[in-house]
Amino acid sequence: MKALFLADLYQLWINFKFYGLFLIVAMGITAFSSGDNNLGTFFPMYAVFMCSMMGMSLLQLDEGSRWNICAQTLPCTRRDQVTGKYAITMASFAATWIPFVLLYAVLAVLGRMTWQMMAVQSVLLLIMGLLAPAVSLPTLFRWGSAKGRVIYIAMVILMAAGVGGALAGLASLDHLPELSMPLLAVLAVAVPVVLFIGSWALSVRWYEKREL
Amino acid sequence: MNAIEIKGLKKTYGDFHLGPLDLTLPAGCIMGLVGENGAGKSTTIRALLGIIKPDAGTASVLGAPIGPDMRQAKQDMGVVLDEVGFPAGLRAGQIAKIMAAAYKNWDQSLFEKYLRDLDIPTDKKFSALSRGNRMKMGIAAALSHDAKLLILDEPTGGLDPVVRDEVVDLFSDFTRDPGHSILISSHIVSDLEKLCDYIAFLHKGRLLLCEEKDRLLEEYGILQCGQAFLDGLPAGAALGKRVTPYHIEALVRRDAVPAGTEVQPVTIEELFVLLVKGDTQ
Repeated sequence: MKALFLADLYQLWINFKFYGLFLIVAMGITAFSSGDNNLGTFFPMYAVFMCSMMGMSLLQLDEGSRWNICAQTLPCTRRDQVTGKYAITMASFAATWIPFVLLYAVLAVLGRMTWQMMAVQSVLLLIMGLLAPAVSLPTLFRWGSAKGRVIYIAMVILMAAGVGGALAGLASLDHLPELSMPLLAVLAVAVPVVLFIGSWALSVRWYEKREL
Repeated sequence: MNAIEIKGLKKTYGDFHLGPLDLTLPAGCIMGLVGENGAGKSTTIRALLGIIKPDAGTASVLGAPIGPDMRQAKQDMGVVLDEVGFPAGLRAGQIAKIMAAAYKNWDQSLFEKYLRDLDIPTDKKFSALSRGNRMKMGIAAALSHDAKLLILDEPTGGLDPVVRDEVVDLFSDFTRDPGHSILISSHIVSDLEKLCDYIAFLHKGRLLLCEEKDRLLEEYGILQCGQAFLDGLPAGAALGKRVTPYHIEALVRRDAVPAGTEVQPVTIEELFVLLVKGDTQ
């Protein structure tokens, strides 16, 4: 497990070291645009989206170099392989999300952003950073990176169409049950976290069954 | 204890059927798996490593049943697959750190010695190494954590004859310890002939025979004769033949041909080729 995580860290450093530079630039732009306007929202979102795709990219690199097969000759299980990828995804997400949350807090202290906006933006980043890998990683572990990526894109399109269709089908949002803000906030954090954990369990199950 | 035990192992991929396969490698011995492309050598090895799930049968490696969790057994196994797959962008030093994190008994100085002895570039990325050097890196890693069993799938493929000879010597050195065993598959039968105690012939997924090498060489021989002489031999005496412009070379059981018949020694390669061709008519 430690060996696999170390291999992923090396791969991250070799293939994504310029991401650190991008992160600094993105934070700078966010800071100077106060985080409240479109530019200040786009860059954090883009940074989180990029880092949430790193687990996916690492899996693709593993398959290209056949490390996914070679790793199975080491004293580790397929569960370890899956856990390693989720751990590195979490680590890279945390390395992006935490600096942005701290930046938002500084902007809020300086009065350049409201505390409410800071909370909303932080939760949005969390949802995006956890949901994207929660959906993409199981498809890659089940079908491999080439097929899995196509299936992932198809799923995202279908989900977007489904959500859009459902919203359009509602005559009025008044039919929706009213939720208090604290409950909404808890749900907004809990749902992606639970989905991420569920995604890990599904990936373990699928990867253990997959013939390589 | 047997290093490897396989009983009734079966695996099917489309038209290809492996087994049922029964194979035993006693501890302290070297077994060579010989077979044409697609004979089932790699499938057998991958099943032993838990990379693929057999359809039927059981197997154990170093006493541990094959399955999804073979962590303890794999601590004592050194594995080289037909394509060594370390992460592409890593250099030897980084690969060593990964191996050190994986194996309790990782010996860094021994790994560095193998890198020097086998002349493996340490400053190049793994992806920039030649196929031969990638294979040598895999062999060096497999030999550097005090393994008790080596499982090697075509480890000498892509190596030039000089390095191949060095590598075969390394494997020989490994088995000086009476508790060390090797399962090795190779197309280069001469390497196996030099190295192995046991030879297992796989052909189209079936085990043609598995025997001690010395016994094979004692039991079988090459008979040069005409078709009429061959036809006069008892049933089952001849197992395969090759027709040349001058005579027929037949693979025969020495004890089944008439006394006084001149039977020449057979090499493992000839034995395999003639067994696979099979036709004695």
